[in-house]
Amino acid sequence: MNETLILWSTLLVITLAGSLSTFWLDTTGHFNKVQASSLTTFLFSAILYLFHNTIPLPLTYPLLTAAWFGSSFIGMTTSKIASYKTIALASIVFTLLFLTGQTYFKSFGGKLGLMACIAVVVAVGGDLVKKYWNSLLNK
Amino acid sequence: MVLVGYYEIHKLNDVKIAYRLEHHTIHQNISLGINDVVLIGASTLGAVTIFELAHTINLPTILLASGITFILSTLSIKLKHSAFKSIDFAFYAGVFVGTTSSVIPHLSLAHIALSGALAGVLYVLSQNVLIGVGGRLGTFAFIAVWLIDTLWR
Repeated sequence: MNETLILWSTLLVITLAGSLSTFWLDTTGHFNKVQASSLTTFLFSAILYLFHNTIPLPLTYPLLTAAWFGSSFIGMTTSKIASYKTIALASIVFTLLFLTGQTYFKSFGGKLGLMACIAVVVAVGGDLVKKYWNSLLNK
Repeated sequence: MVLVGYYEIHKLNDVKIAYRLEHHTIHQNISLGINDVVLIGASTLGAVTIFELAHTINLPTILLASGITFILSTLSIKLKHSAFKSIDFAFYAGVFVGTTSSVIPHLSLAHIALSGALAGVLYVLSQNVLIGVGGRLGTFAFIAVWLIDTLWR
C-alpha cells in the first residue's frame, strides 16, 4: 500500500512539474515548443543523472525520466486549446495511462507521445463537459 | 470525453485551416515540395542519430535525445529559408522513433530509418490534424514504429 502510494504520488508530482514547466516556458515566448520540451527534459534528466547515485530516489532513473519526458509533451499543447488547469488535468490522466500502460508496446518509440496526446484530448473534453455542466447548473 | 475533446480541437483547427487557405500557406494539391522532402529527411536523421548514439555512447537515451534536440532546435531557428520551416518539429518526431529500444525483436538500423521516414511522411501529410495538441509528434512516431514493426515480421 505504502509503495503504491509513493509510486503514484511521485509520478504525479513529476508529470505535473514536467508538463507545467514546459507549458510555462512555451507561453513566456522565449522558447518554441520543441526547445521548451527538450530543455526541461534535458535539465531534469541531467541533474538526476548527476545525483542518482548519491541521492536515494523513490523510483528508478529510467522511469522518472520517462515520466518527465512524456509529460513535457503535454506542455507542448498550445495555450489556445488549454489553460494551466487543463494541462494539470491532462497530467493526471497521463499518470494513469503511464502506470497502466507499462506492459503494452514496451520500448516502442512514440508511446509516451501517444499517451500524452490521449491525455490532452481527454482533458480538453473534460474541461468542456465541466463548462457545460456548470452552465446547466447556473440556468 | 475523448470525442468531445477531439471535436473541440477539430473545431479550432478548422478555423486555423480556413485562415491558412485564405493566406495560401498550405498546399491544396498533392505535390511534394522542397520543405516536405527536408522534413522527411530531418525526421529520418533524428531517428537514426538518436538510435545510433544511444547504442554507442554510454548515456541514458532520454538525456541524449533531449540534449541533441535542444541544441539543434536552437540552431535551426537561424535557418530562415522557407525550405527549413518546422524542421525542428520533424526532427523531434524522428527523435521519438530513435528512442525505440533495441529489445524489440527484428530491430535494425534500417527498420529505424524507415520508421523515421514514415514518421516524417505522416508529419507532412497530417499538418492540419490535431494542430497544437501535445503528443501529436509522438503519436506519428508510434504509428510509424508500430506499422514498420508489424510489416517487418
